[in-house]
Amino acid sequence: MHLHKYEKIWLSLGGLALIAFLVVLGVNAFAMGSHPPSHMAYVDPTKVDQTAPFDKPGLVQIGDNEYDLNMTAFVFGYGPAQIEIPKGAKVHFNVTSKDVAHGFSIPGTNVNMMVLPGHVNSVTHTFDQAGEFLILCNEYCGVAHHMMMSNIVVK
Amino acid sequence: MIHRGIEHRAADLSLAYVLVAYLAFGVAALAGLLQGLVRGGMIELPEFITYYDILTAHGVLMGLVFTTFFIIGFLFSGMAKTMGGLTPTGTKLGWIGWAMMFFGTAMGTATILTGEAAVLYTFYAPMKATPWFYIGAALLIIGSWVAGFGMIHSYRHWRKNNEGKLSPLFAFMAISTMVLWLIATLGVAAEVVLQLIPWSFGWTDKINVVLSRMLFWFFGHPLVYFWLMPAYVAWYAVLPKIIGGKVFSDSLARLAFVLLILFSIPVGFHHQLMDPGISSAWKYVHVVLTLAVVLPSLMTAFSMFAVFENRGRAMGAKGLFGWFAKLPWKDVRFFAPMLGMLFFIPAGIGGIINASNQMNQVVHNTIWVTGHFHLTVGTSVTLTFFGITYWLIPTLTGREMSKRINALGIIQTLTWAIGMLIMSGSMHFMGLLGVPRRTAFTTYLDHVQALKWISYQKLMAIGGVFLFIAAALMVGIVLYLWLFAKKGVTEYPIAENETISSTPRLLERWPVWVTISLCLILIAYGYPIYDVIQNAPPGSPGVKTW
Amino acid sequence: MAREALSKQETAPKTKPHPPEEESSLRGTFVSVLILGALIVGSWAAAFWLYLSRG
Ligand code: HEM
Ligand SMILES: [Cu+2]
Ligand SMILES: [Cu+2]
Repeated sequence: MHLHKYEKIWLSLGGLALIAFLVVLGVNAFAMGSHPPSHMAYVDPTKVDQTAPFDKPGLVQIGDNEYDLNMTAFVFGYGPAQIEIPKGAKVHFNVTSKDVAHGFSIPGTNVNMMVLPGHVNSVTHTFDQAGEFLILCNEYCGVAHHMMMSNIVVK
Repeated sequence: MIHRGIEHRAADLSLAYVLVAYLAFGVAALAGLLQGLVRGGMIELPEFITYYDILTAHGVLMGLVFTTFFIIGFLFSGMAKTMGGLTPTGTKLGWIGWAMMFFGTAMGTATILTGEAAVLYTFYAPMKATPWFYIGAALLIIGSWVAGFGMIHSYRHWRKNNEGKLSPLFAFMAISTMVLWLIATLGVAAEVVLQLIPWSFGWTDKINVVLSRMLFWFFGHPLVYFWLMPAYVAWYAVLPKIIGGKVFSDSLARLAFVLLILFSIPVGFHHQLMDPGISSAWKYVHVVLTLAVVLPSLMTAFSMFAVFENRGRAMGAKGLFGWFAKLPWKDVRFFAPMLGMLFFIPAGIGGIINASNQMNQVVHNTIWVTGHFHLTVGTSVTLTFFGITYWLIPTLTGREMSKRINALGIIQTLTWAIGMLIMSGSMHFMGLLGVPRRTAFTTYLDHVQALKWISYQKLMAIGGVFLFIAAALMVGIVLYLWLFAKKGVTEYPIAENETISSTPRLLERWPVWVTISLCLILIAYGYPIYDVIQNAPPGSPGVKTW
Repeated sequence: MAREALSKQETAPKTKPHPPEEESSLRGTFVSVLILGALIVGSWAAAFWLYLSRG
């Protein structure tokens, strides 16, 4: 098998670029903690309403301007549907589904994850700016999927 | 007397596949038009059908039916051309597969249009469709296996009769494509047959959701390579002939295909980067393997440019880029696939971004992703298939494409390209704003964030209108070439090798490659699948949420 | 020019095939793929920047 000289250079450069991407991603994920949402906790999907903390969805302060926001996703909404968050707060979203697969995304931020029945998924975001933020479902979940939302007010 | 480009039984078979492909394509294009207009807020659907019924039909008919039928028809034809026909058994298996696939498609489509299966083409559990939808899907898959066995039968027969000879490049690539398909579809077949069908009949009451998603995406990523590889077949083995050149390097072409088989399967977690229940370390393993599969595409890019440059220089082109102008831009058989290749540049870049682990958070399930695969499968692959169709149907029917059809074909190709620039461009842009995919028209109760993107959805709809016009033209041209074009002789274009071949024999040792592929799969999936079965959360009952 | 070299080889086959390197320059191809590479790296970096800026 014969490789043209230029093709050798091209494939080496291409290979190096791909390795560089992987190194940057790996360092950012494993050394700096920017993992994609991959939470491993379980919950019985038929008993979400009886299981803490999802029996009382909402904001729980856990530190200095740091909060857990426990939420449920269901056809076709989230609990709670309206949330107030203090400006500058660091918020850990913990979300599970009571029925089918849902999405959980806040446009303009990196908050974006799948919410599956039986699992809790988790993502963290710091709200540095005041304003209204939309939580929307970006995984098709049924006939009123496009109505599935919640509203965050940061002030 | 009809002069067909290949043996007539193989020609009939191939034609039967291609015609069903375009039937599905036509229906799905209409659905696509409606989706764009609904999302643009320009029309509302009548009571009896929802946005999601139509979206399911579009995804299934475009992504699974149009592609699979066209691919199998095209591969059969090229194998018959380069191996001097198919075996009688091979042809028979081809027809049995066709019938199973056709029946499965009809069944599946009926359940979708009657509102029994608005689960989209990914049919994620625990949304539960009627069992007949899953049975239709199973028939489509198993039928494609039978067709694949038909190809393998003919290939083995050829190799027995031509001992010591290197198999034709086209046949090798066709078999590679089907080998990939046979391995990849095992995942979805297991999901459908072992999990979904018993559960939707009510024989089991709960389902392991993450397992079902793993099995689906075990199939879902190689699926996109199953779409792409036949386009590569046309680029490597046909296009050089159309421009009057030669294959750039037979051995590199084969090596690229082997690498595609090896690295396109053990990578499915890049579709589940945002899922809970899969550890971030395993996700990263799949990300590494995903970027490895970029290499054969980098090889392909080099080979294509080289074929064009060699040909252009042979025709006297000067300077660094003089060869570019020498290419036969006015020949639709070249023009359509060439535009497809150019579209593959942004398409491939988008793919690398999507697969980049945590960066997927920016685009996951936004309409950026929809914009991305309308570039890959919806343009690179589809325009290449259009380019093939312009000569394939006349070859199969013993007719000729006239100058006027060629000119119409150029217009058709351009219309598609413009429509896609508009539609896919606005989809990419909106995706970065966070606009969700798979979502009917909504302003989220006039939320300030949502109101910012509403007008771009109109732009997307306008792109869809261009695309629909191009699709309608294409269906018309297919009918014309099939039934009305002038009788004549159209040669089946197959490119020859540039140099005396020095292709290593190892590339044709299938047991070696299949074994390595299975080992890679075991590494990437063995433990995660064991783990998700052993340590599963409580299962989910099914629901119909539409 | 490239073509001439090739046809000479075809009329007088040698025992060992010519490596394509000597037959064609492929400078245009090389520059083309380098542009492609730059596009890939540039777009990827832009997307990564967007990711970081939204963190
Ligand atoms: C007439 C041309 C086309 C138009 C107007 C069109 C339009 C659309 C639109 C607007 C959507 C997204 C809707 C949403 O996510 O809410 C969509 C989804 C999709 N399209 Fe197309 N499309 C066309 C051609 C194609 C082609 C040629 C293919 C593949 C061969 C294709 C495959 C798909 C798939 C797989 C989906 C995803 C469905 C899902 O998310 O479940 N489309 N199309
Ligand atoms: Cu939803
Ligand atoms: Cu993929």
